[in-house]
Amino acid sequence: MRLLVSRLLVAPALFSIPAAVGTISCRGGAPDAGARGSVRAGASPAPPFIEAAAAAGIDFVHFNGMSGQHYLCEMMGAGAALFDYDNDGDLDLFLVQGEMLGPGRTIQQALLSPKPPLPPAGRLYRNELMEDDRSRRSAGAESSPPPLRFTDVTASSGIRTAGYGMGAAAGDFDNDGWIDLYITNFGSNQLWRNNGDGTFTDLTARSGADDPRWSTSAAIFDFDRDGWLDLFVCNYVDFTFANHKRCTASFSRAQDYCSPLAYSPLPNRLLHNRGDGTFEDVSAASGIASESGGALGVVSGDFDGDGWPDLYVANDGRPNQLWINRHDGTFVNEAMLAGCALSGEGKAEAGMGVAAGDFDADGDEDLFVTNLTGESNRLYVNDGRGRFSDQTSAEGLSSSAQPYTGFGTGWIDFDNDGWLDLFIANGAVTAIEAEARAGDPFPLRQPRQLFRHTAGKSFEQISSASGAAFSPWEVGRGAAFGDLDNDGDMDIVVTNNNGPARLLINESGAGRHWIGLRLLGKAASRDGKPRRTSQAGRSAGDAERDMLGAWVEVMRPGRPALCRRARSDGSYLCSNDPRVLIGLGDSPRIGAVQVNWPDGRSEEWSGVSADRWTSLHEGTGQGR
Amino acid sequence: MKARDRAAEIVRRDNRGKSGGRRASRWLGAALGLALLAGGIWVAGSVATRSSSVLPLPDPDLSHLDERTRSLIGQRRPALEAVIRSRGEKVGVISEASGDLGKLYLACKLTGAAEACLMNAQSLASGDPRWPSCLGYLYRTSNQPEKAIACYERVLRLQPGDLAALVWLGRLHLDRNEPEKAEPLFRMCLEIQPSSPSALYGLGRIAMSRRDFAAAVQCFEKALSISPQATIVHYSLAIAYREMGETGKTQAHLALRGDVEPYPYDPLLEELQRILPDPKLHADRGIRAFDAGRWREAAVEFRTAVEADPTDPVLRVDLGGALAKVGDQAGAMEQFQQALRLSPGNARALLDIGSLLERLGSRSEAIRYFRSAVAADLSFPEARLALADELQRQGKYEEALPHFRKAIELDPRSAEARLGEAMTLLRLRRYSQAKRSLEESLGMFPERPEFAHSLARLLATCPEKSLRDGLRALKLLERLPDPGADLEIAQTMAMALAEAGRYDQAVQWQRRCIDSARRAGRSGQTARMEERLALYERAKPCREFWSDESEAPPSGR
Repeated sequence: MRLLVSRLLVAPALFSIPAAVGTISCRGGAPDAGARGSVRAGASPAPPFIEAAAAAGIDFVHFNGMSGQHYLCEMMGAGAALFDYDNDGDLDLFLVQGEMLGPGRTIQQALLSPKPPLPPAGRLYRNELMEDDRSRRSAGAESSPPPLRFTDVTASSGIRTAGYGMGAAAGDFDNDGWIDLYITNFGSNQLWRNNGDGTFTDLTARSGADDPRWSTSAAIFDFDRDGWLDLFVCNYVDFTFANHKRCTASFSRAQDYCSPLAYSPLPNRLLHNRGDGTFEDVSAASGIASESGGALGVVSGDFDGDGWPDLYVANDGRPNQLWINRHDGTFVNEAMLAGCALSGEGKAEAGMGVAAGDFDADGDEDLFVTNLTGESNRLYVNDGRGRFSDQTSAEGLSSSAQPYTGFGTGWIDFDNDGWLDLFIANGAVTAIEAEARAGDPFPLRQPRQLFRHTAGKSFEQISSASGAAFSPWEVGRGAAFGDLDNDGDMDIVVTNNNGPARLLINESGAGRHWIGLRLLGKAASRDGKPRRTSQAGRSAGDAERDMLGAWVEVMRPGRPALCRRARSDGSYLCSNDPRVLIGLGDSPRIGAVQVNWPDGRSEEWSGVSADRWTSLHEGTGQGR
Repeated sequence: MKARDRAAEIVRRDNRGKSGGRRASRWLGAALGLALLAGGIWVAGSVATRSSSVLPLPDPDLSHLDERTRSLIGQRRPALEAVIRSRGEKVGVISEASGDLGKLYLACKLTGAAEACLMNAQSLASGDPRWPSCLGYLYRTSNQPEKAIACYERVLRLQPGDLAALVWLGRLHLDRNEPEKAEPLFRMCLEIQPSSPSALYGLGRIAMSRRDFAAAVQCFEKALSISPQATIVHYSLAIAYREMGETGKTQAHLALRGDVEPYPYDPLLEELQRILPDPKLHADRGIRAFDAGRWREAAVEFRTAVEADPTDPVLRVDLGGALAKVGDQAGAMEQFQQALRLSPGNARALLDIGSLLERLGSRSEAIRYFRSAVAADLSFPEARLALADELQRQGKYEEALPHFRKAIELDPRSAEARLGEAMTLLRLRRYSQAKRSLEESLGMFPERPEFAHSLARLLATCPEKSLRDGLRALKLLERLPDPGADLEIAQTMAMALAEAGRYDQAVQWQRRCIDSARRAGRSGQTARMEERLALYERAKPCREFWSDESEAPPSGR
């Protein structure tokens, strides 16, 4: 079956490499990868996204291990990670899986049977985009690009997930240029080191990165700016099979899932990367463990504009946290005073997913948190100093979200008009009356939503006009964002609890210009020497990695600058494309690109071309 | 123009341009005929039903409802059917019966059925403001704001001075970012009732949206002066003060914030609560408030839940717990005892009575209840822990130890049980076992300073030489946030320094401890601290662990 995904790849001659740019390298060695030659005039009448998981070979179906007990954990997972594990220039996909739940229970006792392959396990899918593109070129094909295609490489990768999976986070922890994978579980977590040859090694025990509690989302960021990526792990509540409680539905006496408030919240964990393959637990020393809230979502960013990475944590049913970095290895939670702990009215809400982005183009990052049915999702607007105000209603995001429970979310400029839009994966957490009465054994289904930011004015929900990809009602949980087909617009992987993973391929950005940036920096080495050499021959001393946390400002003649951060965290249980994709609207003109690197230094490049992916290497721009 | 007339005018202005057909048609209901159709009972319009289609009498699935609720519905539905069948009945009577059933369904959260009944009631008695008011509540609480707005507008057309409708409609507009529509409604409400905290709160929120923080402060302060229990207002007030740069007031109001909203008086809500009070709703609110440490609010919610279902022992235990927290020990005991009467052998109630007695100083009596709780539920880790802890406090270490171990077996993640076990082992001088236990627990709970601290003290002071390790103790203590801030940890630091041979530093730390204890008025402890200081000054380490009750080890609970 061919996938009808239009990827407008064009010949490299249409774009010249500007001399002023330090290094231009298109990903995967294909010089034209992602370059778009012709820009369509006018908006496309076609739906912005098409669902293409099955056609692309993603046959993953989540298994939640439910047996009728209504264990709290069974309806919370699971996530996904988008990362280029084989360094071939395209995003690969890891999908987190559950397992049978309950002491002594076997898979045969599952209320809803798992789909093969069995036993259920996390799966790694390799994106064959660049490989197929090379084959097409060598065959002399000039016409339409090959369909997006994924291959299940779990077996050959060596990844053997253990435990009941929740989320995933991807980052190059050992600075060898190969992205590693951290998997959170209801139970012990796992750290998989990327060996650089297509295989992974379980480093959990040796690294000290484990957490035996119920972990959910994780953020990878360099909190002490020492060049090594650290790890923040959200922990949820102290639910166990032993302390499982029986709760009933609001509309009947039938058993339903409990509120997380029925259990005690767990403290989160901050792991400092020592740079020698091990992590030091600094949760207590940093102050992070001093407050617990039942964390589900986390995003890093410099919210108070002091150049140091902070953390925003969405808590379920309890006040959210804003951990401000005090530059000395410690953090202080200032969410209450900052105005982003509660709703504008002062209510603690059921924070699930979280996104940070400069939606109003004023040069700082604003926060969006997804919440429970009957509440509202929440938009906190930053004044640039880390003080927020709840502008949910003012921006038109209030009443439209109330019917649904939001989970995965992200600021994405899906139509490349330069304004960040919002995507939300929805799914209930307690039975929906109508679905239950209709006999649905898992009555938590809700639709996903897309909100367009209309020229910086307010948000307009366009889900119903967004085609079949937005039609199905599913138990949406994670949403991972990235340009899977390298065509310059943001695609989405949606994970569903006890349902199939969905691949939403963006077809709408094709009418506008864009700039794609991969921000690469030299790996840090405490002693200046390579730490290990991968089988692919690269060592930590000369490897580069994605500089998570780098802040990009794209100057545009006569128009406001556009600011974005390179990050993989945010959303819910997911890890996103670490590259930066910026829609430019109708004009491809770019003045300069400034990058503020995570260590505080800045560089500027001029002459970076629009409508293609470009790698900016730390140290090759003009220092500022 | 009177306030009530102006309210009607505001709604009329808002509706200008809307279809006139939506207006209430008083004649319509009276002209409706009745018909019985095959397969079910219908209330059908026999004459021109230009604005209403009358809906079939719903027959929702009640299988999941409790017996009491089913029985209530079982009475009202036949009553409605009977009045429909009785050709002599006037439509007003039918409307009333339909509305009553609708309200019952609404109280049961059977929203689909409630909507149909209430719509029918409204169609049959279109001049009655109760039915659009009920529908407004239904739509407001089921996330259908557009429909809720239409209903409250209808209420205000029929009854312009309806305070609840004015506030609810104002809030709905505010949530939709329509402050210009909300403001006149709140102002109208204040004209009718100048001391309406909910209207003041609404106006404050409007001022916030306009960044007029001084005006917002005025409204919020006034709302709180009228209704101090509306603790949610403190948050908005804090944010307004923050924007005005008044940090002190900001912090003060943040500390006072709570969840209680300034609701308008709404007779409908009261009636719904009377029809079928929802104990679960209030219990959930109570749990939320309790978890957040707002004991008074929790007690109010639990009491409401108990009133709604006096036969539920769990609710009584919850209420007792909240009352104990606010210092009403007698009230708490009464609730626990009631729970025991309702559910003899209720382990939770036995445990709570024991805990209360323990707090009141009746420790032997407390142990008796803890033992009963354990016997009532052998797999109840909290009861085991309470019994073990009290036995330990009473010096019955050998007896306490197996209970701590059973508590750990039942709940391996119980930090309290693990700490209790380790402390008991120390008391029993089983130092190497205690060390192993603390090390294991530290690995499991790295964020809990009690384990690092206890292990550090053991390493610094253990009578068994082979277990002492001053340097490791120091490392453990240095990882704790601000070890100097806690007197006990600071003393352990001095002990560790002494064990590591750094007596000068140990002396400095110990002197600081003594100063801090004096400043804190803990002069009773300084004698022993000075004895230790004397040891360090003579370059001798400390070999005491936690030696008496005045310097007790961390408690297991």
